[in-house]
Amino acid sequence: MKALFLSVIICIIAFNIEVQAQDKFISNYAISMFFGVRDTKVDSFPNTPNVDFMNYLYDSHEGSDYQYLGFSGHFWFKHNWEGDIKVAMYDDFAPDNLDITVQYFPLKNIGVSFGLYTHSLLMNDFTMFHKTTGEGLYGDLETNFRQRKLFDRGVQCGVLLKQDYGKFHASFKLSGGVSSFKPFPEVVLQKQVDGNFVRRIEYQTHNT
Amino acid sequence: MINKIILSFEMKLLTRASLILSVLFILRVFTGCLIHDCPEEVYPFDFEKIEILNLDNSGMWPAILSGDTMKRAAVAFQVSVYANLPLIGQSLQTPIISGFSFPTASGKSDCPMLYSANHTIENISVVTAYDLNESYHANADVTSLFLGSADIGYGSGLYVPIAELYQKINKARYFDYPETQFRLFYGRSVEKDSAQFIIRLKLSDATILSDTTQVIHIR
Repeated sequence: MKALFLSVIICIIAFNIEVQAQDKFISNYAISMFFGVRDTKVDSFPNTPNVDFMNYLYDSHEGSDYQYLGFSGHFWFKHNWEGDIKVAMYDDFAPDNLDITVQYFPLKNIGVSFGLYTHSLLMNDFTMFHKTTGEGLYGDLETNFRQRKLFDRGVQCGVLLKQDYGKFHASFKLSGGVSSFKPFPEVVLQKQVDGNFVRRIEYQTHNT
Repeated sequence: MINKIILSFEMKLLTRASLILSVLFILRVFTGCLIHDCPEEVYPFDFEKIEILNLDNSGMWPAILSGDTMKRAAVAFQVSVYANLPLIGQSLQTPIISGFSFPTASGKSDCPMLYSANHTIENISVVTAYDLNESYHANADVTSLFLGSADIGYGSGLYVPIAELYQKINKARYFDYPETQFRLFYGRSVEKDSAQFIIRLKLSDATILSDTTQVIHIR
């Protein structure tokens, strides 16, 4: 991964329903609604003959890059196991942020977690590279604003502390992991100024 | 007391009538979105005429050029081949149907006239009327120096060799107009200050359609 992501998640539990399940496998579960923000910091990579898409990840430069609203289900299993499923969406109302974690508590308030996640990120105006470097060419014949949604998929594990106070549950989690973007194809069509020359640049990203 | 009963009855009647009318209105909106059938009659035609327009391809996309001056590396033409039919350009219109039938809400809509060419374009050749350079003199076949495009819109794709044009300009059905169009782009820079080309089309019945471009001034 070239990029360094610093994700800050502030979850405000606005709504919480806790229900005693009859099933023995799931002893209890809670459904919550939450709000969070995400900020993305990316190193700026030097230009090469080809565009480096990572230079064009959305960065608002002030405040948080993304705000999201989500729904979460927390499940208490047998033998000190617990699980979380979180689905969140940005202001486009597409529920494309997903976190699934399972936690095991060998001690009452201290546990370990393992999870999978996919988070969406925006990449904007990435053909600016061609518009500024293609001398004598119209850098991009596509006149619509270029925007692509990327999906950062990864696995993570960590330790967590939790404290339950009746219907109020607090947890602090410290996790690390690896992730990669889902590869994507992209096409840029260019044309010579004052000429008939047209070329098509086809990109196919891949995981390194 | 009687007045109150009558008023209550009228209010209920009004409410129910409004509800029924609302449902009918919503149904009309949905049924109006349905695509109704168009006539499938196909009119055969022959390619009879050819027209050549100058293109300005100096910008991002080709545009029709009213003048005769082109950039040295942006010489391009648009060719239209069509039938001389009296029905050209006309569209069929479905009749307006009143009532609450399914096609009613959509009202009238245009249906394209369908045309089918009796013959296909089998060969496109370009001959220069002037000397182009040391290699290509007047009356030389310069077809290989041109690329083509069947996209007559903004031209959002690559230009292709002329041999690949035939499958795009020969269509099973032509909608609204008995006409096919394509664009030709000169693949090099014109060395001389003026140029003129003769474009010939050979149809599958051995008919030759030919026209000559304007004399192009190069700047």
